[in-house]
Amino acid sequence: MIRVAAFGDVHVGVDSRGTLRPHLAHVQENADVLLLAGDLTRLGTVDEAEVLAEELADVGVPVAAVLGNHDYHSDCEKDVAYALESVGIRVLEGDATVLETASGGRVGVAGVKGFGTGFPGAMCSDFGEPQMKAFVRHSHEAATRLREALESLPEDLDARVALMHYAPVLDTLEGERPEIHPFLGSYHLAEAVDAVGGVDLALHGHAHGGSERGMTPGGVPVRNVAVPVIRAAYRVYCLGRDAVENCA
Amino acid sequence: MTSYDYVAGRVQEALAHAGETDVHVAVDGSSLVLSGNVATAERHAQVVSLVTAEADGFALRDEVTVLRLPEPDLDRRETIG
Repeated sequence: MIRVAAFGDVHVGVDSRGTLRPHLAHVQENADVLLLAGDLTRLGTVDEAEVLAEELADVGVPVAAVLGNHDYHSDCEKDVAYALESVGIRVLEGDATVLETASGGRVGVAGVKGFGTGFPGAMCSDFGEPQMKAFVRHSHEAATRLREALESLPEDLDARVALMHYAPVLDTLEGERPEIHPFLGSYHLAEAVDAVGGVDLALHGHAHGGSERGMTPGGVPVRNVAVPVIRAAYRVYCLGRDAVENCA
Repeated sequence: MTSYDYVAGRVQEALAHAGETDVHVAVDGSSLVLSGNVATAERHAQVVSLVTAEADGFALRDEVTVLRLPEPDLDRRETIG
């Protein structure tokens, strides 16, 4: 069994020192890995990233993350990623990693920020002005990178997770105003997850007013771990062999 | 739409530039209503200050809450699969 702790959308600012770290003090007792679903900073500045890295250093379990739109706001996303990687966090953007747990488990994580465009019935299309086409193509490219990252994972894993910031399904947007759905996620992300097969869990953030649970059309569980949704420092999901017997 | 809606739009954009995308602005009669979450009390004060500057002279109803992060509820661990 693999215990995955996850959260997103903590929006750490320069005034956040000491606000996150106490909640992670016991994460290694409760989980085998920790996954971060983006929007880890408020404005994506280097100063915020340094505070964030201090808060996340030495949590005692392997950590992987994707960045979110807030982490890109100051055009310093590479610096934000560097700050996280300097404390041992694997930052994913269209690539994958295998996290090895203390008990010898292997968790494959493929990650991408993702993007909007929406869902069938209310979505943007690759048509018209260059700006609209660029918007839609960015979303297509993100989904393609997610699929390729999932495909790159090795066979011998105990669990596979797709980690995103933007939502892959409508289910977890329930509670959000429909007018903003195209800016909260894209069905292309779910299509990528379903295309590969073998994914145990898809995690995302971004939709603060949404709901926690959903499922892709192909049957992969989706969980929105934005902290305003889960109303806790993190949520724990048990995956893999013996999870039913041992999670409680 | 009324002139209040223009002000509400300007306030929403100013909040976004400040990274407070989880604060929402609505018009209720002759008042601007703020709702949503911020991470700290300091940011709450900053939001009120920013909105007051942007919507000087408009009545403001502040319903923003400071989001506290409780410890994870391990009884809510979920088995997937």
